[in-house]
Amino acid sequence: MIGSLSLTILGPLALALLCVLQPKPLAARFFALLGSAITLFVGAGALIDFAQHPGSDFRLVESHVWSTFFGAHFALGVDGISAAMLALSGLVTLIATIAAWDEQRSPRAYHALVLFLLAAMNGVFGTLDFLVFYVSWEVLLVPMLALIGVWGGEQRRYAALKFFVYTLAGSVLMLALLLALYNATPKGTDHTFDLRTLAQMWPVWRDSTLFGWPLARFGFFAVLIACLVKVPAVPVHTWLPHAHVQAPTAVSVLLAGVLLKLGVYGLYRIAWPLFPGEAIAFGPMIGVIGVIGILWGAWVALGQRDLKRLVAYSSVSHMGFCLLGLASLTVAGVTAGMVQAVTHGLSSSLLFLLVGVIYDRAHHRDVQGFGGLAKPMPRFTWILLLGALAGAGLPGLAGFIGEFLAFCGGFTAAAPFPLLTLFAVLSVVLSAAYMLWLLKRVSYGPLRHEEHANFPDCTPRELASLLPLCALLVMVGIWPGPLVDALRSSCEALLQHVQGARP
Amino acid sequence: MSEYLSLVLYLLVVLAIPVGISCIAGRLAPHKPNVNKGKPYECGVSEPFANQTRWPVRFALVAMLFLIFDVEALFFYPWAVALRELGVAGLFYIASFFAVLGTGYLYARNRGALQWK
Amino acid sequence: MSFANNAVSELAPLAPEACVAVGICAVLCADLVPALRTRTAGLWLGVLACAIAAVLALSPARAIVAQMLVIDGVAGLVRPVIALVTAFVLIAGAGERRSANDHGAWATCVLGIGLGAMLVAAAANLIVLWLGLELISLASYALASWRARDRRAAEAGMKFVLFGGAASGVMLFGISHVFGLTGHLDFTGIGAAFAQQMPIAVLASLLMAFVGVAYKLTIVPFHFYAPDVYQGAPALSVAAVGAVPKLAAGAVLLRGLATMLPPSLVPPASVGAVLAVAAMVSLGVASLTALAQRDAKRIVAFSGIGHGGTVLLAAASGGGTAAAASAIFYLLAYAAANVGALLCLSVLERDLGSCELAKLAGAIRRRPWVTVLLCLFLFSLAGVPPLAGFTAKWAVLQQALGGGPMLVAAAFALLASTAIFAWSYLLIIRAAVLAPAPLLPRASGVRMPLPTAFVLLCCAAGTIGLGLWLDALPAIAQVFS
Repeated sequence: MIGSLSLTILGPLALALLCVLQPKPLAARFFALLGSAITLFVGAGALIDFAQHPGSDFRLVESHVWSTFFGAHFALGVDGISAAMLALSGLVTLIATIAAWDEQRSPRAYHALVLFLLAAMNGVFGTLDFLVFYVSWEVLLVPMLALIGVWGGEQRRYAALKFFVYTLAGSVLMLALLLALYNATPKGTDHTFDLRTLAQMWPVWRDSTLFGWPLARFGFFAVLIACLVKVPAVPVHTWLPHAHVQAPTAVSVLLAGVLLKLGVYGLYRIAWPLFPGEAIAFGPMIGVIGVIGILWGAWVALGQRDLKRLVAYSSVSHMGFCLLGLASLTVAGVTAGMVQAVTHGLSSSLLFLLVGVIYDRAHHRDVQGFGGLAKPMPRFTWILLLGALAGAGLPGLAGFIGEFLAFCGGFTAAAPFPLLTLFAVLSVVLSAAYMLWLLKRVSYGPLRHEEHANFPDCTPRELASLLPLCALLVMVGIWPGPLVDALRSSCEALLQHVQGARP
Repeated sequence: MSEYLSLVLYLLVVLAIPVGISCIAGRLAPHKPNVNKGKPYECGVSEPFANQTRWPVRFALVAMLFLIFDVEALFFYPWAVALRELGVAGLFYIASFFAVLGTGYLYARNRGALQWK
Repeated sequence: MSFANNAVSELAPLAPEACVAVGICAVLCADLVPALRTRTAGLWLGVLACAIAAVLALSPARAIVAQMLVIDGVAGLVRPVIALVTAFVLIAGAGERRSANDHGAWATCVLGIGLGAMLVAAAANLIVLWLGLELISLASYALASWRARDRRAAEAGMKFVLFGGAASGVMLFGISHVFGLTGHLDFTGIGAAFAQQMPIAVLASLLMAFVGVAYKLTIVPFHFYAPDVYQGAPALSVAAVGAVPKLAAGAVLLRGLATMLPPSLVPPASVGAVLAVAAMVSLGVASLTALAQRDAKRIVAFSGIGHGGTVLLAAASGGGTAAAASAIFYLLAYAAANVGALLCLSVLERDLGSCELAKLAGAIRRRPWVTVLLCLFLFSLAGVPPLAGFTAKWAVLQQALGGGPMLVAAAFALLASTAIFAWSYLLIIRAAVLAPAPLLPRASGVRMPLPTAFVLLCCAAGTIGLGLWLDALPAIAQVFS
């Protein structure tokens, strides 16, 4: 029997195949729309269910035996967090498809790869089996490599290979962990990859050793490195600006909107539950990494001239909040990390789309080459204002919720976190500075170039991709209750599990 | 350990003989170099050939065919000696061997391996 | 007459080999008929022989033939696969455009490799092993230097013959010593004698006797011919020269380790550590040297050296069925991906003139499907899940991590080399997919030959299927026990 979650994985895969097997580009575009709509439908449905009936249980659970010998199952199921991620991946892919509607270079292959990517992302978010998780995590690299490497800008090959190598290094570590866990399963118990069972077996990982090192410590760092590369955390973030600058707009949107969330999600789903003792012990260290990311990203963003690099570094800064929140091990903090992951997905997608809008007109992204666009492009300016303020964390917009909750969690957490949070608060000033400066230099002031006066305002297709994100940013900003409710129960359950490991 | 002693001794002797011979030859042989000694030397045919002579590949082809039939004769001989004991089965074995060989011969002949153009 | 009956019933398990041998004769005979010579009839005769042989070899019966050949679990599994791969190479050969006169001779050589490999895979006697390896070698030499006017092909053939001759000489030398020391040439007899006397002397000579096997597995330091042969020979011939003998060599290596060594030496005991070191050397040398290559086929050659090392590691990690199953599974996954990749390269080679990385630019535009499949096979070789290469690597790592410290070290070397190899494969993918290219016209005029497409799809199905079918491993172990 195929459940709705299987549909979100197998559906896009089948549609991807259809895309390349039929000759019409238009059909491929509609297939991409259909695939992301299915995901959005299933993810949003589950999220609404969690908002109405909060709980830390897994829903839409299905399990098919993959291998009795290895104990691997094609096991799927979502809690509040994965439901939100699934909805996000569906929404962002939908919007990216609309944004790339006019893609002229091999459109069938392009949309097939996007669908392939979508299936892999849904595999990561929807599964309860470590092997399926790992397979999806690895498979993700392939379409991403092609999307950046073939459809990207001038230095696309360098960017694609850098992206591939950074993330591959993390993946090899995760494979080593998978093997180590499999071998450490006590004699007499069946091998399993079920994440729920593996989490329950945390004392086994704590007590078994690998070359005299506690297995849990090795495992924790393996997952940590694999995830920190994806987040990305300083100092392994350097692939991100390159990848973003070279990627086409829609791929940038996918990268910032969904792929960066994989790192945070991996920490939430694997590192914390399986190795709770290490999560407690190394929490402060990860908090420090998070705060360094927050400040470094914001500081470097201030100095960027390329709009995409600016938004990319702001992503580094914003994703630091996720790390800080997760590491603080408070309900508010962990929930903040997850809320921030969702809202950053919305706001950074919006900003990358906006950069794409003016790049399509001016064919460059140098922030100093713009100015006074408010006059010819009023609608664009309004939306940019909204996106920039959401990115800066203005109360009443979505970006505020995650940052505020993170501060709450940080100040109430144990010893080093209040101090760390104090530093993190500084970034509010920095992010307001770079976002408002961006707004001023692009839209306000005198019109710098005569030919910019003829720029057409946003087209209906562009608006179709921009406005849903704006609506969601405002909605979550003024009415965050349902989203936070849907996420909180799972975070509480995780914390309870982690606190159980305190000696 | 003693049972390996013989092996070690054997290996040493095997190593010593060629090394020794070349050393002795180098020491004892009289050295009187002249131009003719430096020339390539091939079965008495010395003067008109240059250093890098190419021999037609047919030599190798004929040599290989000869080798195959040489081995064939080698097989036929013990078979003929043991023919009575092997009986009908022996006839079957040698017939199958001969069939394979015959196919090869026909093929080689047909593709012109035996023509000397 | 009863003698004859006995002989026939004793030889009955060798029906697949006989079938291929008859196939070789049939191909040669067909080549004598002028009307048939200009067509691919010989190839299809060979395919037929291989197909029948594969079906015959599938029989689950186990047998020992005159202390010479053993049809045990490993042979029972590997022989049909060898016949099948040989058939695939021949089918793909029908899609090649070579001078019509050559089809029969080419098919004969490929069938010769197949026949030799089947003998080696079932060998339980050093003489049969040597004969089988020689049969493979003789056919391979011809295939390697097929393009007679090509300098690289000449170099490849010359290196191949010289190294092959040396390996076979060392092997004979070792065999003579084994016979002198133990009085036996069959594996079980050697094993029995081994248990009593002079283990180290026998071990040393056995090591020499297995040099030929190492040569076919392309293990460092017996690998030097491989890159040149891969580069010099047409890609499709390389599929026969490279993948088929590896299957056979792996099978006979497993049998040799299991039957000839006394229990105190059986892997993962002392011999396991030695083999693990050899595996590490192969992996290290191959993965690092591959980085410097500028020709796709040379990269695939070094990948073959690394994969040979991995098979050695699997064989080193235990005498039991689980380790044997992992080694054979690895070889199956390797064969599917390797034949597929070489077939893709052979199509591109024909279109673009060469497999040099610089020449591959624009392959994706000219042959999109072939290039995508090439990427699939390379990803499998690199061990990207959920493809066969990943599952196979997983199985080998699993075995090695259960062994002693040297094996665990080798397992980590395998992980590290995986990452390094991934980079070399990426170089091919970068050249074929990402590199900027003069806008080559799409090869719509030259349609993909149907036989080639068929074999490519079969290889792709095998690569994906073996990857997803995780329970294949216990199924193979079941066959072996």
